[in-house]
Amino acid sequence: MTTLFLAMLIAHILLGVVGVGASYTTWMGFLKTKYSLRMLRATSLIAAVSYVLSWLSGGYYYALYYGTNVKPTILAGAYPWAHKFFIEVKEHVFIFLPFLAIVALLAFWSLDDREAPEGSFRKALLWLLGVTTAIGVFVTLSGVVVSGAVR
Amino acid sequence: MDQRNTWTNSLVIASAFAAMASVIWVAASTIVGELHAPFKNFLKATFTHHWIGKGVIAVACFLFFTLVGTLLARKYPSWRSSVPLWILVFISVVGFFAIGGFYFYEDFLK
Repeated sequence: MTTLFLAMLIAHILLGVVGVGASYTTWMGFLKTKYSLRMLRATSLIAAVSYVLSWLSGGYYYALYYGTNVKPTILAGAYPWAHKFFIEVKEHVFIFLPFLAIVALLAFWSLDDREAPEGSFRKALLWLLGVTTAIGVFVTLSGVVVSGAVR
Repeated sequence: MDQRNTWTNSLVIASAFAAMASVIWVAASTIVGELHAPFKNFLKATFTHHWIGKGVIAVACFLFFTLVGTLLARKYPSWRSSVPLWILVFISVVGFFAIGGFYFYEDFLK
């Protein structure tokens, strides 16, 4: 593996973990009765930017290296389902994350500092953050399974 | 009195609908691509890789519907942003289980 592919893979993993952490932090922060809108705007921005950059770096590695070098090794090994199920699901549901995170970011930027959000809006946004975090955790764990299968 | 929705509220409504379009596209194109090889081959031939094609079209969908939706939502001050957020949550969960369920069936049950 070249240094560039290695750097892209590491960036994909680290940025993905940062994104999931930021989504979780935003979710937990917004659950509080007294929350800091400034902090929620910052963490939701970190989540959105991290997912986009993780998508780009992971996409570069996946499209140009994984398919020809890693995938055949996994399919020929003892755990072919690591690719057939986990990578296939991971690579597609990951695409949801940047869009969900951008919507959450815009939602926090639309809120007023001096006014509490409408009850239904708050609940929907909390669910959106929870679903984003859950999908992010699934994607992260799938990455762990694939890393184990390739060894 | 201003009879328009605010720009920020319009943007949230539009981006939620745009994200729904992108999520539906990703889920549908993934399943259809596996069941109908010419569609997957078309994406591959056009974008060098089927996954890149799905991503590029998802981004295009998101940008297009956000732009058009924001201008449209501005005209309707009664539109609330909570409704599209709830629908987006539902669509995302359905999309996740549709993709996961499809591959689970294909790989473990078929």
